[in-house]
Amino acid sequence: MNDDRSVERTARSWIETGPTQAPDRAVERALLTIESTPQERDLRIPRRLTMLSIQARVAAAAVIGVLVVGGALIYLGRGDQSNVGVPSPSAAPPSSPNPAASLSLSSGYANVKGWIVFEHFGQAPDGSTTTYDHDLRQIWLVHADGTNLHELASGNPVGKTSPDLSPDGKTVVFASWEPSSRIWQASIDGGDATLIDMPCDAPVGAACKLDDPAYSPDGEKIAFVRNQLLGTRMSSEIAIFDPASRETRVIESTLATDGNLAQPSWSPDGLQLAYHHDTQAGPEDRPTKIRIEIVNVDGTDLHELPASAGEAKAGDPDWSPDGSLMVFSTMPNREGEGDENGSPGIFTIHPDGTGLTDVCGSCLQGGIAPSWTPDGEHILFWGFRTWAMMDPDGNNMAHINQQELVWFGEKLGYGYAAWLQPTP
Amino acid sequence: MDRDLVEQARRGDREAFTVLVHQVSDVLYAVAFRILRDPGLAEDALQNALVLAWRRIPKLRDDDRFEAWVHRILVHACYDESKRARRWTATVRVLPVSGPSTPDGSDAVANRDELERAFARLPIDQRAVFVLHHYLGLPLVEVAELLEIPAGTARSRLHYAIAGLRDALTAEPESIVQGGRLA
Repeated sequence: MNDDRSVERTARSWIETGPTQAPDRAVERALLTIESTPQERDLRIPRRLTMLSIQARVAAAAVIGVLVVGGALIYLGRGDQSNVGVPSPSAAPPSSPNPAASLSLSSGYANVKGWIVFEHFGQAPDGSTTTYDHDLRQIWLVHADGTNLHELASGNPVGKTSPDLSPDGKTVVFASWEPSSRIWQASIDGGDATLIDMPCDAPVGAACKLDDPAYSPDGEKIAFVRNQLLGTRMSSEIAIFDPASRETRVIESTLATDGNLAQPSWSPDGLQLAYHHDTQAGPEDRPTKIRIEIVNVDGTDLHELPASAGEAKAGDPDWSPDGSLMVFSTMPNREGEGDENGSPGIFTIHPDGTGLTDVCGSCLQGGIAPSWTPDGEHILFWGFRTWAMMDPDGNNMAHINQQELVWFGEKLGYGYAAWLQPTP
Repeated sequence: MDRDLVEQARRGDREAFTVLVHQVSDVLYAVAFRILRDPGLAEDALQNALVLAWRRIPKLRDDDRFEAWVHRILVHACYDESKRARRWTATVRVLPVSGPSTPDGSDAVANRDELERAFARLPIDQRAVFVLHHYLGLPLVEVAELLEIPAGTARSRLHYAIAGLRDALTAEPESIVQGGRLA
C-alpha cells in the first residue's frame, strides 16, 4: 500500500466503516437546547425593504408621535367627521376598486392623476388581512390622492412581487413569490392573474426561478431574471422572452455562487438593458459589490455604471422616458441586505456613465426604488413609510400624501417599489 | 429535503425544524464521527451544529441549499471540537504503534489501525475534504462550494490528505512516535 491510488482506495473503503446513526441522546440534547434557544433574526426585512438609521427611526417615531397627537386633537375637534385616518383592521376586504378604502389627502403631489402600483407585504393596507407575513407579498393600486385603494388580482398566486406596468397601462406583469417563482400577468382593471409560461432549461420550481419581469417599450417582449440549476451549477441570467415566438434569449449570465443579476430595465428605444449585478464571495454570503451594468440587447457593449463614491452600492435602475438619464438608488431594494446594502440615496446619471448627480440628499428619510413618471417630469420614490416625488434635479421634493405616514409600518406592513401610471 | 419544512423552520416553526433534525442527524453524525474519529466529540459537534443551525436558519438565503448549509455548519463545529480536543489530548501519551503485519493473517486489522492513526494525524481541514469527498461522495467542486474554499484548495487538501496517509502508512513505525506523542 505505497502508492497514492491504492492508499486512496483503501482509505475510501476504511472511511465507510463506522457508525451511521446519531445517538438518540445527542439528538434529544440538541432538541432540548433548541426549545429554549431563540433564532437570530435580523430586525431588518429579508428583502426589498429599505433600512433606516437609528436616528432616522427615532426622528420618524417623533414625527409619528406628533401626527398621532395632532390627529387625535383634530379628531376630537371634528366630532362626527370620523371617516379619516387608518383603515379599520376589521374592515371587509374590497372585491373591486373601493372608494370607501380611500385615504386622507394632503398637500404635495396628492393631485397627481393616475394609478400608483406598489408591492406590499404584511397586513393588507386596507386592513382586510391581519396576518403580518413577510412572504405574503401583494400588489396594490391606489390613486395618488389616496382613493380607490385595491389589490391587483387578489387570488392566485398568493405571493406576488416585482410588478411592472405595460406601456399602454392596461396590464401588470409580476413574479409569484409563493409557492414558486414564475411570471404572471393581470389586467389593471381587475380579474385573475394568468401565468406566462416562460421556458426553463431546468424543471420549473426549486431548480428554476423566474423574477423581475419588465415589459419592453413596445410591450411585445418581457425582460426577466432566470435563476436555474443546471447540473450542479446555479446560474443567474438576464433574459428576454418573446411571447409571440416563445423564444427566450439570454442576454447576460453569471454563476449564482459568484453573484446575482436582477432588475432588468429597458432603455426607451428598446436597444439596451440596465440591470443590477451583485457579487458575493460565496453562495450564502452577503454581496460585496453591488452595481448597475448596461448591455445591448444583443449582448454586446457591456459596461458598468460608476457608483456614487467609494463602496457605494447601486441598484433600482430606471431610464428616463427620453433615454438621456437614468435614476438609481444607493440602497437597492433588491435582496434586502439591510444596512450592508448601503445608505439610502438617489442619483441620476447619463447612460454613458457621465454626469453622476446626487438628487436626493436626505430623500425625506427614505430613498429607494426610484422610478420616472411617464412624462419624465418627476421621479417617484419610496420615502419613509410613504412615497415622495421630486423634479429630476431634486427640487420640489415632497411626500405624495403625508397622511399615509400612518399607512405603512410594522403593524400594517410595508408598501414600496411603486410606479405611477397616469390616468388618460 | 422538504423545502416546505425548511421554509417553516426559517419562519420559526420548531416542529418543522425537529422533523428536519431527524432527517439529517444521522448523516451529520456519521460525517462528524469520520472527521473527528471520536464518538464523544462527534456528538458534541452534532449537537452544536444543530443548535447553531436553528439559530441561524432565518438567515438561510436559499431553502434548497439547506443540506449543504447545515453540512457547512457541522464541519465548522467539527473544527471547533477539534481545537477543544487538542487542548485535552496534548498531554495524552500515545501508545507505541503496532509492529508490521502479523503472520496470523490480521493484516486488515493492522491496516485499519494504521489508517486510524494516520488519519488522526492529518490536519482537520484535510480530513473534512476527505470525508466529504469519499464518504458523502461529493465532487470536489461541491466540496469546495460547501466549505467556501476555492476548488483548487479543496483539490490540494485532498492531495495532501492522501499523501499524508501514504507517508504515515509507509513510514517506519518508530518514526511515528516521538517522545510519547504524535509527531
